[in-house]
Amino acid sequence: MSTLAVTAQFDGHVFIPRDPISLPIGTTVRILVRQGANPPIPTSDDDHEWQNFLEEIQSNEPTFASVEEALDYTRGRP
Amino acid sequence: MILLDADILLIDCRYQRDEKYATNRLVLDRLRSESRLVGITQQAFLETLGVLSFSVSPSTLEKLARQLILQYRLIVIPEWSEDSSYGQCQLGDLIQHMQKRMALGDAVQAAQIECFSFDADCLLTWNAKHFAGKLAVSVLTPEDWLRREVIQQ
Repeated sequence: MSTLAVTAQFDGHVFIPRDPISLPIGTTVRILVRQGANPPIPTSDDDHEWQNFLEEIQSNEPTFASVEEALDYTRGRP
Repeated sequence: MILLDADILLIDCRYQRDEKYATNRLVLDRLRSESRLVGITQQAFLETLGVLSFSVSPSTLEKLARQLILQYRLIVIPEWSEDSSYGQCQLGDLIQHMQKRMALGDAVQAAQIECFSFDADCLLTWNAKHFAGKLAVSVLTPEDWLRREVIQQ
């Protein structure tokens, strides 16, 4: 099974592909719609809370000695 | 959209002495200054949280998740919501287990045991120390289990 990415435009009723697609007639497809793509901007309170997190994170020695070790553990690599 | 793996975030906020830190930060700064869309898979985001759970107060993990999304302007795919599911468990369940300082793989197992293993007596694992006091069932090494069985007979 392969995945095909198609860009389409919504005309108010249906999605219209921007380019011709080579698929058998009657093929059912699944459409993923990404909405509100722009993430929110942090407020000054958010920035303050983030700085506190960074200080807390940096204030102790990491449980895993390196980022590689951390990901090896969480991803179950030998 | 530029997708980030967990190591990019972890080097930036946890492993700042890593030799790749400066380059890593340069990339993050550039993504920010050019207002590029930055995404991360739910898998990598949960891994990041799991590793960071060892370094922050347990009760603040949900706030940390929110801050990571805000500060790195992340678009989590699939969408991040506590109602979303992962391994047939709710993300909120996973976060609860990560608050006990568990990496992602262990947290998923703990959540699945809690949600679905109603008739389990115990979990046998050679890594019992990673689960001690963190599961809904008792955790034993195979050696300990054999010893217990012999005593009970």
